[in-house]
Amino acid sequence: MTNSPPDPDADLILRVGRGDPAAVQALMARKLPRMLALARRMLGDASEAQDVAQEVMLRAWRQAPTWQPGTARFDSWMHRVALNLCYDRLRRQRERPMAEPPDQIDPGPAPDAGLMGMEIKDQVEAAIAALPERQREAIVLCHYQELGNIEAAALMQISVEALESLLSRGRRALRLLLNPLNDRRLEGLA
Amino acid sequence: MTPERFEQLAEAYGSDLRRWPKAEQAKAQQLRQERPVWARECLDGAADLDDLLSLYRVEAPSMALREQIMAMAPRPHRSLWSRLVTDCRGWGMGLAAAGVAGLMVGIGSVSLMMADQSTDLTVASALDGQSVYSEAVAFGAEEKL
Repeated sequence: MTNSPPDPDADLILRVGRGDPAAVQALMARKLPRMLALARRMLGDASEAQDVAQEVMLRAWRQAPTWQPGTARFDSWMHRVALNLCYDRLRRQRERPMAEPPDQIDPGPAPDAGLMGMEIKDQVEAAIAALPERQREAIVLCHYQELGNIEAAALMQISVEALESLLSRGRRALRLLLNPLNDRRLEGLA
Repeated sequence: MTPERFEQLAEAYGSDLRRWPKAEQAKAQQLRQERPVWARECLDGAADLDDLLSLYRVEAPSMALREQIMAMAPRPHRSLWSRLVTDCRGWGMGLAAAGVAGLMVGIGSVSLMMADQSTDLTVASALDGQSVYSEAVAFGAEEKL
């Protein structure tokens, strides 16, 4: 017998598995924004995030009829699928060869100088995109997806201590990148 | 909870104690009450970053995306019996419709044939009438003569 709290989605998934149209609608309303937000912040690209969110929902439709309640939370399973799809895409991005190597140094502004010219919201987005992938994943799961530390650590297949370390390092890096912004924001409020 | 642990948790999870590990929330809350000024200073630093992070909002799923996903959503499952009943009802409706259509075609053909026949009779009687009339004219002419 397990002590884990009951899955809040269990009943809905059962009904989706039977093809109940209202349950199908309800699951999409509940999960699609979450999956889209997760993929968007992990990948930093709206179009790729939509592809990932769509694929996660399609896999959820296929999984629902055979889902065994009590094994894991359906939301965790969906996060796992979404993260795997995100990492596949991030890997492909890294492996994609450049069409032509640059002949000369880009005369445009330096990356940090570019941050200063953007809207604050875009600068936050760029700062999160600039984090190492595992730090970004930890912050996305804990801060934005609001998962508990045990669930986030399990998803990332690391210990809670390792998760805390990733979170701390990620937040320190963000603070360094965004501190000038915060000063500007506070000046604006004064 | 030690002040060092409190600082570690603020550094990792931010200023909102509800995001902290559930097992440590009560102890952290207790320390915050015991040392409110120190705790506020500690949490304010984390709150600045939390406020900035909250500016990164993601757009809601578009209607097109929702429609694409719904188009591939599961349909209600039907039992073999209900499928048979529905299919038979469908076949029955189809057969009935075909029967009615056949009947209509049949009635139409018969009335067309009868109309043809009556047209023939009318033409014939008209022709007959014409001959009678011409005979009558001829007879009248003879009488006048």
